[in-house]
Amino acid sequence: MTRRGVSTALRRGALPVFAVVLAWACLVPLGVSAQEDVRCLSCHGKPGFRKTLPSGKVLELFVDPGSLRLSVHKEKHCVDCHADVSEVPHPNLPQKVNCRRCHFSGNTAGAPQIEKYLEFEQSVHGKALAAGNTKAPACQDCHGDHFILPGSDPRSQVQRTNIPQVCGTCHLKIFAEYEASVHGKALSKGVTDAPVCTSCHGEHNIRGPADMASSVNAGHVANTCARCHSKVVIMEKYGVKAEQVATYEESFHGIANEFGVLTAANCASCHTAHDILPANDPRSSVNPANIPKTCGKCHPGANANFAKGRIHINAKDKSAGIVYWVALGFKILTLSTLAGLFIHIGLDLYRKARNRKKRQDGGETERPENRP
Amino acid sequence: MSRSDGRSVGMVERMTLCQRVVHGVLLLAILILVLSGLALAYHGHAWAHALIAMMGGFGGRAFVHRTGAVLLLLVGVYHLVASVVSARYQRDLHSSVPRPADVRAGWAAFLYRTLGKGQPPKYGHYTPMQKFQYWLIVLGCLVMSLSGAVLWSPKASLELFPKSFSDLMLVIHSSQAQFVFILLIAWHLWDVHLAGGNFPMNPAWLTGKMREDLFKAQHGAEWDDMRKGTKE
Repeated sequence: MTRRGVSTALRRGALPVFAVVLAWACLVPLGVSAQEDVRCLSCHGKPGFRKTLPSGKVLELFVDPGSLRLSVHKEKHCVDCHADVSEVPHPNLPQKVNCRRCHFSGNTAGAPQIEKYLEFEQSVHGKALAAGNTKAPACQDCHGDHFILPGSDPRSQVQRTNIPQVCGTCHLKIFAEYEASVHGKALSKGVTDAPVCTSCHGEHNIRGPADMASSVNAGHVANTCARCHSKVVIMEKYGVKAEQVATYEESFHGIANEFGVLTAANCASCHTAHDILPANDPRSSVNPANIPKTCGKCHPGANANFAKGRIHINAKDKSAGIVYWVALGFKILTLSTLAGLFIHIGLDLYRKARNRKKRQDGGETERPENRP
Repeated sequence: MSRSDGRSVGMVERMTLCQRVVHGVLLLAILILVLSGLALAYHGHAWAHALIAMMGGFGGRAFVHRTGAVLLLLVGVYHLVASVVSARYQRDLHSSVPRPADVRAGWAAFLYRTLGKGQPPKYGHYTPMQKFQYWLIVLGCLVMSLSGAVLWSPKASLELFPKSFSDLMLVIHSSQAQFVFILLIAWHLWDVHLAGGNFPMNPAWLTGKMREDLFKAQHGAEWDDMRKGTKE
């Protein structure tokens, strides 16, 4: 066969065969799953694909194929997670995806080797989920389903600044309170120091406030707030005194709390938990006009006298006024009394020694006059 | 009683049984108050934590402190009543009044001790130092009781007075307590129990009597009066 003859043969018969071989060669490394993806997307890739359950609930079933490819799970395929789906159309309603198929310590799937899944199991959400509460969030409710991104990615649902919205999906009232609070407003202005839900409540280990292990349990609230509020470097940026933590710890409330009296006021008892506002805001629970009501939550009958005086008082600072001067006066009095006492004792001992020497010089053996 | 050199020494009555009991109750009250009070003031320290835990925690400490306060108040009330009805108390009270002679005696003692000038002054039933300590303690107890009363029921106090008043009472209560404590521990213990040959202690607070030679040295004027039969 001439060269021309070979070329003609390729054009006429071998080219389609080559194309089939090439397509096969491309699909085989992707495996059966990739072929399945194509099958899945034949329905789920159609925008507007949805199903109405017998209960009347509408399930939006469209999946943007591009979103998965941009996510941390870009190498995964539909059935890697939707493992219970094997037939089309599905004879049974597919189950919610169980992330734990890969996300456990020691997994070989390449998922991060972390214990957060175990933490989640002990959390208020995990326990509710295990107890059959269908409203309790699972992983995908916070992290998203197909478009899961690392927490550091600004587009991620769990990126710090997006967290309040994510939690707010279920916790609507608290989200509204937080948004209007000094913390929420700061976050919306781009202040990265501002705490979001997880800063106080934790992430996977969120526990109810009644749980002794919770970071927002009455015994731990002060420590949780102190993580930021005791840091001068952070607080001075916003004109907030870092000493508020120490002054609380030195107060009767703080000491009682330290010794396990959980009914004693902690930060949130007065400042509230979510709608924290500066004291000069008339809506603030610590605005002088509202102090009687705030104190009255624990001390029924609290009146305007409760607001007459500083709350976070630091006796070592001039801002404490007369308290500072009284403390200083007593300090000087006590120290000078101590000094006078040492002089007094010193003189006693000096005279005793001189008298003894005098007696020895004079050859006396009798005991001396004892006093002074 | 015999001295180390074998010579027997007479004993002089210094405190009646009643006074010793009151002194004991006062000592107990002050020990309770100081321990439970300092534990609160220094709550951040390990020893204070241990003390508060021993007293049954935060509420237990408050109960112990208030028990001590009641004891101290009882001593105070007894002292007041006795000063009115008892001739002996009235005499002692009279002896405790500061007089110009105390200043002169104090100055003489200072000169004697520093420069060795003259003779050690002869004191009466109470030395000038003891008088000074006594009145400071009386004043201290008054201030402690009043400020303590304000702190006893924070809610009632806050309803009656501005919060700043309670803050002031707290700092006075805490600072004055530490001042009085130092005064008692260091000064009274030194003067009455350690110095002047009394070491290791003046037994009068237990037996009511002290050694005649020490009594003569420490309360020379009273000794002279006793010898003359015209006790002060």
